[in-house]
Amino acid sequence: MGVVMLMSRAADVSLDTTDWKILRAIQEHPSLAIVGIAEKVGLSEAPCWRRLKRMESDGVLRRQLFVLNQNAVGLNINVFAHVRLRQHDELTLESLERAARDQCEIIECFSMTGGSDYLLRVVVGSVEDYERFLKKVLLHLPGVAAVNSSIALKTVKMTMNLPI
Amino acid sequence: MSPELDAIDLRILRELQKNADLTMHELAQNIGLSHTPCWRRYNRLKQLGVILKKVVVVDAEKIGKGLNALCTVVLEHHDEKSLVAFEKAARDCPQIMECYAMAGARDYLLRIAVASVAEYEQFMKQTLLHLPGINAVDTNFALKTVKLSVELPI
Repeated sequence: MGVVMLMSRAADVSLDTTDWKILRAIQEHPSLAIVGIAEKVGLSEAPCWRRLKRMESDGVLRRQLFVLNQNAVGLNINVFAHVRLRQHDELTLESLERAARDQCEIIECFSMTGGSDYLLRVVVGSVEDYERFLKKVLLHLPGVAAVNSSIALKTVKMTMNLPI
Repeated sequence: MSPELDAIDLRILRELQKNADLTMHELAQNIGLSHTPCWRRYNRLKQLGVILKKVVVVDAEKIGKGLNALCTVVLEHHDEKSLVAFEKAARDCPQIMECYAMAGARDYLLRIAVASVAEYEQFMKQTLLHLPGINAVDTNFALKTVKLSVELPI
């Protein structure tokens, strides 16, 4: 019987084809109870539960989250802020990253290759709110030299479901 | 804030964002409501589409999709048909995690989850450049994900 074992980049985690099926099922039907997932992947409940527990303790499955409708809570604007830093020593990078994690309006932050050091997604209620946020917060974050902002006209897609 | 949400609704939403595993009983307790009105509010928020869904977060790094490519796309034409066609294709493409129509010189900003630079190269050649109406793609890679959250500042 050929069981395909795919080793992921984190070398301590190995997932077999049934695990992948479970991950796909759970991504697609996040509210399904274990019985339902078990049925979708053709397992009985106990072994399915064991696999879920194992993937949880391996850190493959992280927590559940509620996704809210941004517009319904009045946060209509997504701004992508390309941030350049004044200097690039470790301390500056770490302070900037900590500040980004603590700042609730910044909901995504990537350190980048290319022309800017960081790319942030900032969520605000209006362009005026962003102007205030830029002036009062963003430009004061540790080490920030320049911010280049682009505003999204529309969210075409935003998903947490990974391509598996 | 939207007119139909009061302070208690917002507190419920904040609690849910902080902890999606709460039972209705715990949620009610944390808000200081009794069970039934809390449940009624929760259902109303779902019906209004304020609460969209509960998702399970799979660790991208652990399953080998930990590299994020951020790319901007320019289309050849900017008529409605081209935009609609591109957006539909972006929604249907599982590697594209986020897609925003942008103001400014570039039409779209995409976040693409891949395993490696080599996989991205394949994806770009075989899929991305074949999406309808694409004229140019400019890609930068995230060296590190500092923060990737869905928790809204409410």
